[in-house]
Amino acid sequence: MNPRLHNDLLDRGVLTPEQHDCLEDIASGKSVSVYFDLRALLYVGVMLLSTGIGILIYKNISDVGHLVLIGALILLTIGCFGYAFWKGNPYSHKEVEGPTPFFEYVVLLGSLIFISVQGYLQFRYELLTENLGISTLISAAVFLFVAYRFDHAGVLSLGITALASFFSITISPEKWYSGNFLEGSHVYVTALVFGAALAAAALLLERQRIKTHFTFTYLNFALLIFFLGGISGLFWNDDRLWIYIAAIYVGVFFAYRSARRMKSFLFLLYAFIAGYIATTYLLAETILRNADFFWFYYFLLSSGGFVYFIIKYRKHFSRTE
Amino acid sequence: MSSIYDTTQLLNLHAVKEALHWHNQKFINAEQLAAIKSKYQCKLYHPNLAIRILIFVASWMAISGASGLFFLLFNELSKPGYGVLLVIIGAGILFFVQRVLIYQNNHFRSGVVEACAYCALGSIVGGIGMITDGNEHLVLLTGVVVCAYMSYRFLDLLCHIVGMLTFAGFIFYEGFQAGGIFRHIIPFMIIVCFSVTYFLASHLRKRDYLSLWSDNLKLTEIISLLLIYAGGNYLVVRECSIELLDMTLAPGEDIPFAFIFYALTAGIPLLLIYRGTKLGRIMLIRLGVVALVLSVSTFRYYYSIASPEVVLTLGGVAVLSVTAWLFNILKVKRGVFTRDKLLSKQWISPEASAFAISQTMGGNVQKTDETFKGGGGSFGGGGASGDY
Repeated sequence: MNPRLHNDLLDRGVLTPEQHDCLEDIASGKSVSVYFDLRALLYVGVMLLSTGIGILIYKNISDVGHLVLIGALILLTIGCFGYAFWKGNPYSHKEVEGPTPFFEYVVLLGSLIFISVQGYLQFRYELLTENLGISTLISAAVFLFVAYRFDHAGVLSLGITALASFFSITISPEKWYSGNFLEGSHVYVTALVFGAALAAAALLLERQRIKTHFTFTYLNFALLIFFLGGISGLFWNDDRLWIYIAAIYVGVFFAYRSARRMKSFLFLLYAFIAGYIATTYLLAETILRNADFFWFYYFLLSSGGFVYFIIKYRKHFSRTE
Repeated sequence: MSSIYDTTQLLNLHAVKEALHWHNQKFINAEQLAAIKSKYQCKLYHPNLAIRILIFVASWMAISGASGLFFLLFNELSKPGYGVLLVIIGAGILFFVQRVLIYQNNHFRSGVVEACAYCALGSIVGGIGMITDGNEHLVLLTGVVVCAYMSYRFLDLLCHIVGMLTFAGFIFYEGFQAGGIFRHIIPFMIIVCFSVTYFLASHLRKRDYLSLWSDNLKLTEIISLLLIYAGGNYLVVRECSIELLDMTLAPGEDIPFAFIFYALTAGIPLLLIYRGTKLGRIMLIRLGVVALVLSVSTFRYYYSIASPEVVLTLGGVAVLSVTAWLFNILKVKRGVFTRDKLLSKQWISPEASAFAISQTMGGNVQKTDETFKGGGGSFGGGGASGDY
């Protein structure tokens, strides 16, 4: 916005001449970084390749040439993980930087190709056909191992969603669209328990100082799954209204505390939305059941009051970006 | 008349935000950050994005509740009467935003400002629609004018985007209504109009005194280039001609000036990438790459040479190969480009990136038996499919 900011800061003696020259190079366009552009391209490339290979295997699963394809994919997987073990830094409980800018994408590609190959082998040789859930657990275990060994939050997310799938909880874009995350009424409770267990695991690992930078990812999934389970149960299981309401309020309290502790406004957003939905539903089912006109006041006062509260106590919630 | 905000405060806010970014990148130390904060004191209320969304949603709900109550008081009004009332309400909201939120409480992109501004925009445009009995010319024109006002005075980027797209819609609608030859030259009208806006914005962006609007001008360049590309893209022109202009094409027949659109579809992305590389403007290269992907998709749509999975796989290999090559050659600075991070701002946080990976690259492994059947199930391996 202010193209002369670095000049002003040099004149005021805040920046050193070296810092000023560096900023001048960037501002004048003499140095242009493509670091994030290249990373975005790597992301797109891995996504295209893993998607293409997944469909390719599926469509050619019975063809004569598929063995060549699978052989190539196994070699590619070995190549990716071989590179990761060869180049990667040793495991540490602390955050470990990748040795090269594309290291994490090699690990991601290896993980994605691995599950394609695993799926193929499972189908082709009828491994675990009686208990396909074990296969899901194996995928989750591999993802989690890779995530911790190579310090990869993206693969950790894949591991958590795979683990959730084992319990029939699916979180994916099409589920966001359809709103059908849970595959049966009993799963509402499972989602609550799974979310709580995931949050407990996250806090335990954090207390042990094991990869504390993963805590956010764990809690993000834990809160999402917990609230989705609670709200779905609220809407579809009227006879247990108070149990789900109580569970959601506990979740809201936990999300609020986590938001304050981790300075995460996203968790505050979750807490507000879940709490608001639960409270509104509770009122609609109880004291405001037949008070249609009152809803205008409710929305006006509750939302207006919330905005007033958050702005009034801005020091607790706001920070300049 | 200038921006509605205090220019000094905006510049101070920008300085503090830049300093925080430099400090996070370990480019300046804590003392330097403190010095900048004390020299560029800012009293604007500008919460971060999550809080802003939260406040926006809550404000929107409060406004909806208030509007419901308000309109119940006037349920006897005629349609034009409602229109006038809406315009008055819209103007009143803008006055409230300006006086109370911005002047008295120093709000800047706080969520409440946006919620009120968009509500005012909707009220005024809707009101004009009711008064004029849905006159499309006036509704579109009002949309453009009000969005331009919001963009200029409130520095609102969303209104800026909506305004430009409404302007494109206005050109299209006027060409469509004019009929005859004008219907056939709509794409050229779009290309010419937005070429003018692009060059104008590029020219104005160099002026220091317009630095408050630098983001708006940058957006103008981006949207203009995208609209120029859309105006020249063969698929867009052909499908719009058939769907919107009721053009009927016999088998083997092509749209008028087809060769021009083929040339533009192929040429614009290459021109953007070439100009971007030559001028050192990364924005042109980014748009060029996006346009290139769209052009390849366009040609593949009409002249398919391989199945989708083969295209995806080969596309992935090509993208990874090119990126690896670029990583390698940019170890040292080439022209103005470098693979070093410098002080670039992260596009998304690592946590958001991790979540995006889980949502776009599979991992939703379902254990139900029905999903795992060769030749018809939903086994998708590590791809983007949600089912596995």
